Amino acid sequence: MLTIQEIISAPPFIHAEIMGGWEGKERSFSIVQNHSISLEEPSLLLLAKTQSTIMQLPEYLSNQDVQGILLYGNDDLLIPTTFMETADSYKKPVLMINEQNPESIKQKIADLKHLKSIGLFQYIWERSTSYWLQLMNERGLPGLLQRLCVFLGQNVLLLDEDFQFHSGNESPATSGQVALVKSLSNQPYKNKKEAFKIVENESGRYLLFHLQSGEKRCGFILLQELPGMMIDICIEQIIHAIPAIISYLMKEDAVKQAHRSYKELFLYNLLYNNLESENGLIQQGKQWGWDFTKTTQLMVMRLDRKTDFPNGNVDLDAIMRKIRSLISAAFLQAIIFPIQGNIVMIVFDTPDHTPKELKERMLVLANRIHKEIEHSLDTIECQIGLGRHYPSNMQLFRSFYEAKVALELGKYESRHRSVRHFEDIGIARLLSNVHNDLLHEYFEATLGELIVLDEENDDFYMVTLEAFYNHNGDINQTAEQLYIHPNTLRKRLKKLESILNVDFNQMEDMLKIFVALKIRKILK
Amino acid sequence: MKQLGFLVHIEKCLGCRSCEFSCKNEHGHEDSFRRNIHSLEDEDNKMGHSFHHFSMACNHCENPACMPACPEGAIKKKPNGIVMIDKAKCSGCGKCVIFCPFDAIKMNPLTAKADKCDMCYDRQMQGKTTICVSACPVKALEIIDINDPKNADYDKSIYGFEMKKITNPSIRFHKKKEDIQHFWCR
Repeated sequence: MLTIQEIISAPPFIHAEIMGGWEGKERSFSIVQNHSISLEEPSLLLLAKTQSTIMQLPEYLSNQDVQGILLYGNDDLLIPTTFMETADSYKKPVLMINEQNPESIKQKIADLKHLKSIGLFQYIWERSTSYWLQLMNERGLPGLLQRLCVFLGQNVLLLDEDFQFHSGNESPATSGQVALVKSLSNQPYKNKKEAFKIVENESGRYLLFHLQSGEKRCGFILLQELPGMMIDICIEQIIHAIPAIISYLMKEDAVKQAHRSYKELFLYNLLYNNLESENGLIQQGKQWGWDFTKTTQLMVMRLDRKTDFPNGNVDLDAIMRKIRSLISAAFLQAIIFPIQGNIVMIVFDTPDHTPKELKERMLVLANRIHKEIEHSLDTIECQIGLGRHYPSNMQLFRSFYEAKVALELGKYESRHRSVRHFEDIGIARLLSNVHNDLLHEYFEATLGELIVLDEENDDFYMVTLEAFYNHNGDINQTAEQLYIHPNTLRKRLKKLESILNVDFNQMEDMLKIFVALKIRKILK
Repeated sequence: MKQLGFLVHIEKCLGCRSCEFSCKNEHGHEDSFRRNIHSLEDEDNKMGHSFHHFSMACNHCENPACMPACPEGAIKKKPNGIVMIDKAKCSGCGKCVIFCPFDAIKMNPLTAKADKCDMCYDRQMQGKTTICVSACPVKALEIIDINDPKNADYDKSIYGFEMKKITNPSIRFHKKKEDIQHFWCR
C-alpha cells in the first residue's frame, strides 16, 4: 500500500500540482485504475485531463474506493473551484501532472510500490533532495517553504540560529508558536547529534529540526505534530529538503559577510584617504543609502571601563543603537560604526549652517550622547573627540585624525572634560607636532634644575609648582590643597622664582613654566 | 582590518646596516636612506659599555600625523595599514617631513618630492617580503600584523628612545634574550 503523500515525494509526481483535497494525503491505495466502474479495492484513479473527465470529477470522488485522483496530460483546462471544494469535502487529493502516457505513470507507481515492499523507499527520499535544490534555485527560499508547507499540509516555520523568525517565512506564526519560540530562545540549545528534537508547550507538540552544516548552526525548522499525520513521511520530507535550505542560508550568510566587509572597507578608505574622487565617494555611498552630497561632521567616542569595574562586557551594538536614536532626533542621517576600538560617528547635516553653528550643534549632540551613555552605563567612562568641519567630504580623514588627537591630548589637560573639540585643546595641539627630543630639551632647560633639587633635598618644589598652576595661581586654594599656610606658600614661590629665574607676575614667564609642565605630562 | 608593522628583535640586531643598504639599493638615491639604524645604551648597563641597535623606517602609524598635514591629500593609508605617498599628487612642499615625529620622510633631491618607506608595497603585491627583512642576516626584522592578538605581547617602545605615542606607531620590539649558547665544555 502506498499513500498519496509518499508518491508525491517521488519524481515525476513531486512536480504535481495539488488541486484540492490535500487533507486526505494520508490515504493509501493498493492499485491504480483508469476507470472507476470496476473498482473493488482502495485505488488511485488515473484520468486523462479532458473536458468530459473533469465534468465527471464529483461523481468519481463520491465513489468510496477512490482514494485520490491523478489527472494527466498537457491540456490547459480550467477546473471549476466547486469541484475542488468537493475534493476538499471528501478529503480526497486531486493531483495534476504533465505526463502524457498513462502506462508509464502506472509503471512508475508500480515501481514505487515494489521499492516500498522491499524496503528501499529510502532511494526515493534521497532523490527528492535534488528536487528541493532545483526548486530553491528556481523559486528561492519562499518558494521552497511554500511548497514544503503544501506537502506537509501545515505551516512550517524557519527560525534563524538565535531562534528568531526568518524573513523567508510567508505565513505568520500562531500565538502558540510565538510563545514556544520565545521560550526556546531563552534556554541554551544542546541537541547537536539528532536531526530533530521534540518540544512542547500548551499549544501542542512540535518537532524542532536543526539546520547544521559541519560545526556551524544555520537555524531551525519548526513543525507541529498534528493528530493523524504520518509523522515518519513528514520527517523524511523535511530532512531531504534541509540540504537545500542550508545551502540557501549559507549563501545568504556569505553575501551578508561580503556586504559587511565591503562596507567596512569603504568606511576605512573614507577615513584613511583612499578614495580617488568625490564623485566616487558619492556613488559608493549611495549603495548604503548615504548621501555624501550633504555636509558631514565627525566625532570619535572612546569607551573605557572605570577602574572600579575592571571586568564585564560592553554591548557595543546596544550603545550604537542608543547613539543612533539620539542622532536621528536632530540630524538627517548618521553612520555609526566601530573602528580600532573606538566608535566613529559621521553625521549628515544641512548645509545652511555656518562653521561656528556646525561646531556648536556637534558639541551639543556630543554632550547629550556622553550624558546618556554615562547615565545608562555606570561601569563605562565615555570620552568624545570632535574634528573640525571641512567643506569637502573627501577631507573627512583630516577630521578623523583631529578627533583622535583631541581624544588623546585631553589626557594632558588640567581641567577634565569628556567632550573635546580639536579647536579647543589649546597649546597641546602645537606640542603634539614637536619632536620629542626637542620637547625633552625644552623641559630639561626649564625645569631640569628643579627636579634635581627635589631629588637631592627631598623637597616639594615640583609638587608646589604643579598645584599652583592647577589652581590658576590662586594662593589660598593652592595652600589649602598642600595643607600649608598661604605665607609658607608665598615663601616657597619666592624660592621657586629664584631657582627658575622667573617672575610669576610676568605673563611670559608664567607661560614658559606652563608649557614646560604640559611637556612633562606629554613625555610621561 | 590588518595593520602591518615591523617587529624588531633587539637582541638579534647587530647593527650591521644590511637593511639600510638593501633598502637603498632597492629604492634609494644618493645621500638618503629610508631606513636608519639607531644605537642606544643598554638598559642594564648605563655606563656605555653595552649598546643595542635597532632599525627604523616609517612606522606606518595607526594615526599618521603626515596624512592630514599634506595639503594635497597625497598621503593615504592602505587597508593593510601601509602608509603611502602618491607621487603624482605630491607637490614637494615638505610639510609631511616636518610633521613626521620619526623623521621617516625625506625629500628626494632627484624628484623634489617626499619619499619614505612604503614597506616594499610592490614586492608585497608579488607575494614577496620586504627587502630589509630578506636582507637581514640574523632575522632581526619581521613583518607582523599588529592587530593579531598573538602579537599583543611585544613592546611598543624601547629604553632610551623617545617615541611619539600620539600617532600610535606600528612598530614592536622584542627584547627577550635568547639563552646563551656555549660552544665549549669545561
